[in-house]
Amino acid sequence: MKTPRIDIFKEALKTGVVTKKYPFEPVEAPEGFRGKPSIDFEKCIGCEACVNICPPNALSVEIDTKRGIKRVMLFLGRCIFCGRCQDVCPTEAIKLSREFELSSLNSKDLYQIVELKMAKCKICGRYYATVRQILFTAKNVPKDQRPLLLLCDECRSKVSAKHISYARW
Amino acid sequence: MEYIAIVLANIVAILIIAPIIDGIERKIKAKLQCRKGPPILQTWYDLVKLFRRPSIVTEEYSLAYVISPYIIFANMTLALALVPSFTRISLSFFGDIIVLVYLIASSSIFLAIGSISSGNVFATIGANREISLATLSKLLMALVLATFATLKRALTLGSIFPIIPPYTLSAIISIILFAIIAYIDCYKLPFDIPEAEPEIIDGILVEYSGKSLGVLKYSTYLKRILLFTIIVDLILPRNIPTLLLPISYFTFLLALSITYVCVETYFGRLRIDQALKFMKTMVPILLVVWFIAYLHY
Amino acid sequence: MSLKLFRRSLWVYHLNSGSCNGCDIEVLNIFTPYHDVERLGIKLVASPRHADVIVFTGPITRETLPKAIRAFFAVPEPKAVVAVGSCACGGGIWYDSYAVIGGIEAFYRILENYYKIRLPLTVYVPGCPPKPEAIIYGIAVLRGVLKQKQRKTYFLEKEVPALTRDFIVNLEKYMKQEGGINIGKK
Ligand code: SF4
Ligand code: SF4
Ligand code: SF4
Repeated sequence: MKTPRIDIFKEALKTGVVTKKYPFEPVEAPEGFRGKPSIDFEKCIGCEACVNICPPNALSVEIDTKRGIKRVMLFLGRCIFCGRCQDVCPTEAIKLSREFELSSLNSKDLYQIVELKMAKCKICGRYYATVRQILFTAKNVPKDQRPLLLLCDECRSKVSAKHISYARW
Repeated sequence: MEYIAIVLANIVAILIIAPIIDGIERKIKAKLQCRKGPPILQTWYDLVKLFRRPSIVTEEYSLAYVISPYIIFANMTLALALVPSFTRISLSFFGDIIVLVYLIASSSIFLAIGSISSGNVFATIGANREISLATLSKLLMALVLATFATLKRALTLGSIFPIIPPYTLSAIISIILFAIIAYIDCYKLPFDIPEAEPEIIDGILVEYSGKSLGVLKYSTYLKRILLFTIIVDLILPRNIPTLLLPISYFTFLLALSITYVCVETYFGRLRIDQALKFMKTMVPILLVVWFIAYLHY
Repeated sequence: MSLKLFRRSLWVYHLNSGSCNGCDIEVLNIFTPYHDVERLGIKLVASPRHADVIVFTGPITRETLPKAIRAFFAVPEPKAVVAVGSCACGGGIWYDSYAVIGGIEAFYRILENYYKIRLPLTVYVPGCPPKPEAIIYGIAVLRGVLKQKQRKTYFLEKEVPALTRDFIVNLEKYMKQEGGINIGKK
């Protein structure tokens, strides 16, 4: 048997009780803690950058071609809180907060869903991008090129190929 | 009639305080580890919850597995009736000291048999360890109780207690030895080998659940109180007024359990062979003490 | 319901079903002096027979599935489940791997299909790994001591400006007028 260490009592008396009171007392997460990501509905333009970068596909996108709606879904139950979505979001719509109290009794409560309206291509009539996305892009495009944004990718390349910058439709 | 009522009241009082003493021990242990620790009634809460839950039985169980917790519990309650606790009155008859040893030893055996018949491998390992420890520790207990009987030349617990007034060498040594043996028998930390939690996932208790687990845990607390009670009875002087007796008994009990818990925080678990070696060295010492007691020193 | 029974005493069985050990360390962390959940009556037990609650960590690999099912049925009713970590909640980073079942919900689907049982009360604690406080909070939610804060949020864009050629060319002018569309402002 080892020799007993008498200093346990001294140590215990000196230190006292170190236990936190947590559930009865709020706790701040430290600076830089990567907690719950949340999508700002006002800012999100549905560009799918975050969907592409998300390692576990916690963010996913669905396109409802009937209603013309793009649905960006965040499932917190799969998110690994890496913060990559925050880095790539062009509008800073998705941000990680310091909140960690995410527990829920139903996995449905862990979803965040944003549904955005899409625009129809003026030539082929196909839904191709969200209205917000077009408006966001339009700001960075010279005025004479802007009407091209109203076309879907395929039609746009066709039109561009014909060198018609002022399309007639 | 009155006599029976007093004994029954005694047992009920012990049944109530046994988990509370364990709660106090847990609190003190927590404080020594700089934790806040559970409330003192926590052990009662645990037990009540266990009693309200169903017991699941294994596929290959037998009768012994189902009834052994209740037999152990009955054994412990009966043993508690034999020793004087809050009052000086207890069930006493000629040869009750032998019955006491028998009750303590048989509960260990029943525990081992019950867990072997659950069919779990870990339970079998635990039972193995329990049997190897119990054979030695019960032998030691029998020897030390024989020393007491020899000292007082009596086979009734009532006339053995208290042992101390003739301050003989053998009396003092045998009390110390009994305290050590009681410590081993309580499954306190260096000797909690049969239920080693991280090693063999609770060993003997692994297959018990719900009510039977609650009964088993309860009997462990009762066993601790029983051994503490014997120590207290050995040293509590006879001339204490009857009214003060419950208070002094409880204080002694508390002091003992606190001492034991403080000792417990020092140790890690022993291997089974180390524990057996430790106990084997005690056997010759005890035989010598028995002989000294026979010579009235 | 089971919550009332566990209000004062809750014994926890920790089941590692193929986790990376990140969550296991955080689960053990709540038993250290710093968080000491024994003060709330929570105790870690070694055998599922003694447990009231199973703490699942990890995405449930194929190898652990049979053992997880056995451990699940070894816990007496009523029981509850705490799914700790993103792996246990929804499969986490491994959710589409061939080697994993993919979290507690897939596990429940298997149980429902093959054993036809009523599913236990489950609390999901997302995080990779969750903070120890988050696990304590999850258990508090399970016991009904604290309210659940997290709610599903749903947003449907109602009105969009009509995209005409005139509108998109003179975007700046319109935006000044309406003031409502401030898409992409940093
Ligand atoms: S934090 Fe990482 S895992 Fe979570 S949504 Fe963003 S990119 Fe996906
Ligand atoms: S990257 Fe930002 S703007 Fe794009 S879809 Fe994700 S949250 Fe919305
Ligand atoms: S949630 Fe993260 S930390 Fe926990 S087991 Fe899965 S990968 Fe590891």
